[in-house]
Order: sequence, then C-alpha cells, then structure tokens
Amino acid sequence: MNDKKILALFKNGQEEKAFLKLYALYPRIEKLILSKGGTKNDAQDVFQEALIILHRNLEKTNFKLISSFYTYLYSVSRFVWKDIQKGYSKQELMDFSKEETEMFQDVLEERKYKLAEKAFSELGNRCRQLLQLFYLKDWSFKVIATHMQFKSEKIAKNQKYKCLKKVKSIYETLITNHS
Amino acid sequence: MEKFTKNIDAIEAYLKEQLSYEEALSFEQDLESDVDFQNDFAFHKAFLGGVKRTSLKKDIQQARKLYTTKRYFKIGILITAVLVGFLLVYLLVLKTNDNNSQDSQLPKKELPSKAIIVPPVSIDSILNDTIIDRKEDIPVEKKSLKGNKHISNAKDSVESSHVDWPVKNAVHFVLLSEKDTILKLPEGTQIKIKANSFKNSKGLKVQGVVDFRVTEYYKISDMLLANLSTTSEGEILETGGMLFVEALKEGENLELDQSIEISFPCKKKEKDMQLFTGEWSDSEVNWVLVEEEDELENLEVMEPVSEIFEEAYVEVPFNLVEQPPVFPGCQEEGREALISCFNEKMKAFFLEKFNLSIAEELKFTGKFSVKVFFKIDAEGNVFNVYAHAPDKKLGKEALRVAHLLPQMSPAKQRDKEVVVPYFIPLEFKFPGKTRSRRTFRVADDSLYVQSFDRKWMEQDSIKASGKSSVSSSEILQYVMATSKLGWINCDRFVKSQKEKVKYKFKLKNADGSKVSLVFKSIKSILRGKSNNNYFDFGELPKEEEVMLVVIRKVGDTFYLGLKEELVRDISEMELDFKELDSASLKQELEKLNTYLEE
Repeated sequence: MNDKKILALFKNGQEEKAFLKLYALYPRIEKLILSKGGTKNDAQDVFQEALIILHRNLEKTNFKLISSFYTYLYSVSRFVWKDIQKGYSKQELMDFSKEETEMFQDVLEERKYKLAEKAFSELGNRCRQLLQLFYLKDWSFKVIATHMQFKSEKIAKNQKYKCLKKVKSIYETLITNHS
Repeated sequence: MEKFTKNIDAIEAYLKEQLSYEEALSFEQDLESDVDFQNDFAFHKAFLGGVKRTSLKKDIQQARKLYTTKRYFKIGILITAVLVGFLLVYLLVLKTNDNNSQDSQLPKKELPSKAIIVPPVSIDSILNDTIIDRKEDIPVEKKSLKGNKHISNAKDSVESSHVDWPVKNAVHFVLLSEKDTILKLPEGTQIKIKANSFKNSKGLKVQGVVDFRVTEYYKISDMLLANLSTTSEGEILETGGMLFVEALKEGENLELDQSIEISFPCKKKEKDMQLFTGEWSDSEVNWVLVEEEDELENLEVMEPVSEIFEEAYVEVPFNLVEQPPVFPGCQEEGREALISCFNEKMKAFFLEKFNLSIAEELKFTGKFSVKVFFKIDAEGNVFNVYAHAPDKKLGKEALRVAHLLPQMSPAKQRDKEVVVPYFIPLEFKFPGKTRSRRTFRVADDSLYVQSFDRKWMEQDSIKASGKSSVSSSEILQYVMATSKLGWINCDRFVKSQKEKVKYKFKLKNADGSKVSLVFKSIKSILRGKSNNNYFDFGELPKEEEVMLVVIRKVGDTFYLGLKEELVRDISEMELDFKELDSASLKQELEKLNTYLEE
C-alpha cells in the first residue's frame, strides 16, 4: 500500500495527516475488537493506543517496521486489548516470540506513560500550560514568561520545577494506589 | 528541592544529548550509584511520555474526526448519486412511456445503463444551478433581529415575567459563502471573511447564503445588560471590545473552516492585546486565551487570494515575470543576467547575515537546509516571510535575516509594478553524520499585515445601517484573527503593582441581584460572586476608584443601585435602589458609559 508515504508524513512531522491515512485501517481493527467482545468505544480506545505505541516506536532510532502498518497495528491492538482484559496465562507469556515479547513490553511501558498523563491532567491549568509550552512547543522561558505574564524568565523557570515536583508527587501516589 | 532541580537539569541535558561524551559518562555513573537520581530519571521519562500522549491524542482525535466526516461525506454522495439515478430512471421511463405511445419501437433494455452513467454529472450541475440562482436572487441585505438567543441564556434564570431585559440587538447580514466579504458594523468593528470559510457541524463546506449575526459590546452599558464581565480564570482583563458572532444556515449553527479577521476599533492603542473566547457557566462568562496554535493557522489565511485584488494586487511567478525585481547593486542588462545576479546577491546576503552559531549550539551535524519563502511587494519590500527549517530557532533566524533585506526595485509586468513570490534554499554542511530531521514552519506576519490591510481598505464592503459612533479620523484598530465563532473578546491582562485588598462585603436586600463592578481607570467589569448576601470580588488593588452596579428584577420592575466607591476593606455596604422599567434601566446604564476616564 502507501506505507512509504505514511512513513514520510511521520518523518516530516505531519502526524495528523499520517494518522488520518492510518485510520483507513480502523474498520478492520474495530472488527477484531468487536469479535473479542469489545464495544465500538473500546475499539476506538484500543486503536488510539496502538497508534500512540506505533508513533513512540517510530521515534526510536533502532526501530524498523518489518511488516506493514496494518499487520503491526493489528498485533499491537490485540496486545492492548488483552492488556485491558488482563488475560495472559503464564503459558502464553512463555510462548511469545521475540517480536511479541517486545510488543508486550511496549504495551506495559505505555501503562506508565498513561499514569503520567493522568498525573499531568490533574495539575492546575497554569502548570499544564507552562509544561506544555516548554516540552511540546519548545518555547524558551523568555517567551513563556511574557506569554503567561510571569514577572521574569527566572520565575517561569522556577515555576516549571515546582510544577514538575507536583506532577511527580501525584504520579507517585497514583503508582502506589495502582499496584 | 534544590537537588531535584539539579537532577532535572542534568536529566534534560542528557536526554537532549547536549552532554559531551565525558559528561554523559559521569551522568551514567551517578545514575547507577544514586537511587533518588534513578527515581527522578525514571519519573522524568515517564512524564515526558505522558506529556507526549496529550499531544498525540490531540492529533489522533483530529484525524478521527476528519476520517469520520470524510466517510459520512462519501456515504452521503453515494446516497445522493443513487437517488438522483433513480430520479433520472424514473424521468426517462416516464418520457419513454410518452415516446412509447408514439414510437413503441424503442428498446427498453438500454434504459438502466444510460441512467446510471448520468448521475455524477447531474449532481454537479444541480448544485451549480442552485448557487447561481441564489447569487442572483438574494442581494446582500441587512436587518436587525430582535433578541439574541445566547444573551437570554446568559441572563439569570430567576425571572419569570414577560418583561425582557433590554438586550442589544444583533446586526444581521446575509452573505454569500462563495465570496470574500467585509462587514462593517455600526460601532466600528470590521470583519473580513474569505470565500468558503464556513462548515457545518459535520465538517462539510457550506455553500450559498449564510446568515451572519454580530452583536457588538463596546459600551459599559451594553456589557452590563448582557451580563458580561472581563475575567479569565479569575484574572482581570481590560477589554478592547467584545463580540458575539454567529453564522447560521437554515437555522443550524455553522463553524469556521478557516480564520476570519476581526478589527476592533479603539481610541488609543494599548499593547499586548490578545484574543479570548468566552465560555459561559453559571451565568458568568470566563474568557479563555486563544492559543498560539490558532495564531499560526491565521497566517495561512493571510495569503492573498489573487481574484480579490484584481486591480490592487497582482502576483506573477518569479520565473515568468517580464521584468524581474532588481537587487541593489545589480547593473547587468537583460532579464536572464538580472535574474542570476539577483539570485547570487540574495544567496550571498543570506549566507553572510545568517548566524550559523545557532546550529552549532543545537549540535547539528551533517547536511541540513533552511528554506526561506517570501514575497516582494510592488514597492520592492519583503513581506509574508516564512521558513521551513529543521529547528524553530533556525527558522526564526531566517526570518530575521529576510527582514534585513534592502529595498529592491520591484518586478514589473506590462510596465506595472507587481508582487513576486521568491524562495531561497540555504544548504549547510557541518562535519559529522547527517540525521533525518522533522521540518518546522516558522512564520512572521508583522510586515505583511500592514500591506495586507492597505489592500483591504480599497475593497468594496458592506455597510450596516446606523451611524458610526466613532468618527473615522480617530479610528485605530486591533486586528485579530479567529477560527472560532461565538463570544470573542479582544483583551489584555492587567497587572497592578498596588497593594491588594480583599473586596468582599455584605449587601442588604440584595437577594437575586446581579452585582457588578466597573473600574474608572480601565475598561473592565467584574461580577461579584454571591453567597448569602455576601458579594466577593477577590483581591483588588487598594484605593482603586470603582462603580458598583447592582441590578435586580422583581416581577416586571427593575431595581438599580449605583455607588461610587474606593476599594477598601469593608464588611457592609448600603445602597439606594431606583425603581425603573426596562427602557429607563437602559438609559440609566448608558450614563455610565462616560464614567470611564478617557
């Protein structure tokens, strides 16, 4: 198919377009999840997770997409769904191939990120805005300070540490409650 | 805390690969020996992953939305095609039945196949026809509509009588979606809407006539009556004017597919004005700053549409223009020689001025390129500059250099000065391995807006009836672009260095009242949060001159209490109420419009 084109879109930072192209595969994933007893909403969630995991992997330098996007997303979706259902027998875990083990680990790792996302979402508005501007948009503290009406760069920077500290403590409580 | 900040700094430098080899080694050693550090490291990676998820999810959800609308659109087209197909078969059958009565020789079997080929064509023509019809039938008209749905929603729900609040009427335009339109409103607002700017709730482009309604709120009285206040998440804003903007098609609310540009008139220009959108909850409005993202989008909108500027603005591709622009110092004769001189000088200029140490600081290795795009206007100045660069800082540097370009002799086509777009790729090569990098688009519109504005002024426009309350000589404007309709506010945050004091007091007999506070020094309105006859305005600058405005409605009668006050620490307040009807309430409030110091 046009896997190469999609890959190029990701490389050029046109994530949204790439995701749109990949959505063409969604009906088949939906079928999979429905056949396993999930709802349409579950299917949307699973597909979203699969796309996030795919994107994370594409950013790793050592990652190579061996199969097509479809095969990849299909297997990741299966793992994600299983993870939601918490349904792995020991035997299954033992029988994983190398690739399957990697995927399984990706799914496990994503759990951590999900928790961090949750912790992040529990922050106050201003903290969220500040951290997003800094980490996602790469704004300098100078620009952030003027944009967010901080008195100085330094205050913005200090605020960042404070916000990080806050997420960290939320994250830690989430983890202890989780396990 | 101190250790934490140190750790975070080290971790970020490490993850961004900003450490030298030795530094990285020592980082890794520290990491092995220090459990707290490990902890911070693990957290930070998880945190970055979590933040990344928020942006990825946004992208994915956007993609999903597009995907579903596209799908529905396809299904819609299919159904229409099938329906039109049936219709045609039906018509043909009818016709052939007629024919059959005269000429029964016609073979019936051919009919279906004929009919099926026809539909796509006929859909187009049907659509086109309706558009053209409407264009001719419905000239642009204007009228005032009574009452505004949103405002009545915003009113307190306590009232149960027939007398309405004296709300402001929306100015109503009927415009054609396929045309560029400029709307001029009675109080000085100008709205520029480009062709095909509207979409419906399903994300489909809207064609034909669109009802466009705007209500302007520049006067304190209008704001008070509409229950408006000027705060964003509890912080005080000074307003440069608020609008309620709605677009409707057959009663359905439309959305914008691309930004529209709004000019707010003002008597003196204040710095840092920004665009906010309003969200109502508990009959109070909260203004939310429009994010940077949207502003970037706006730049796309600024791209001129050549057909609007038939006379004023002609753009010719650089390689086709009869007389190319001339870079100062180029003396060559002949088109080709001038072009190559132009290209050389341009390249030399950029390479000389471009500060490459930025790339060094970013630890770039191998080959990379920065592409700079701009246009040269009919006076020979550069505008509409943007760059594609592997890092935003490099893009910004390219913009800086582009703005340093000297004035050139403009390009000419048939002896008339024209605009030419130009593009220059800057290739750089550093030692080391070339890495694939994503591309950022960096744009700067400051110069462009100016020249664009001038162009717009010459366009014909629709004028709403009613006298303009600001004379044209004193019109200054804030020009903003928005991709959202609804409540829009051109504001800035106000910060005061003065000592602050909690402004909260008890007000007797104020059950069900709206208590607002108007500042004398800035155009800003606050709503008091009420709790058992206590009204709380949060922390305000001490000794600030304010006007308290209390409005209550009992049955069909309004009660208005006004009091000039200085902000101070008090516990109780007494007010005299005046009994008024709807019209006189409006009159009384209008007196407040002069309260604000000019």
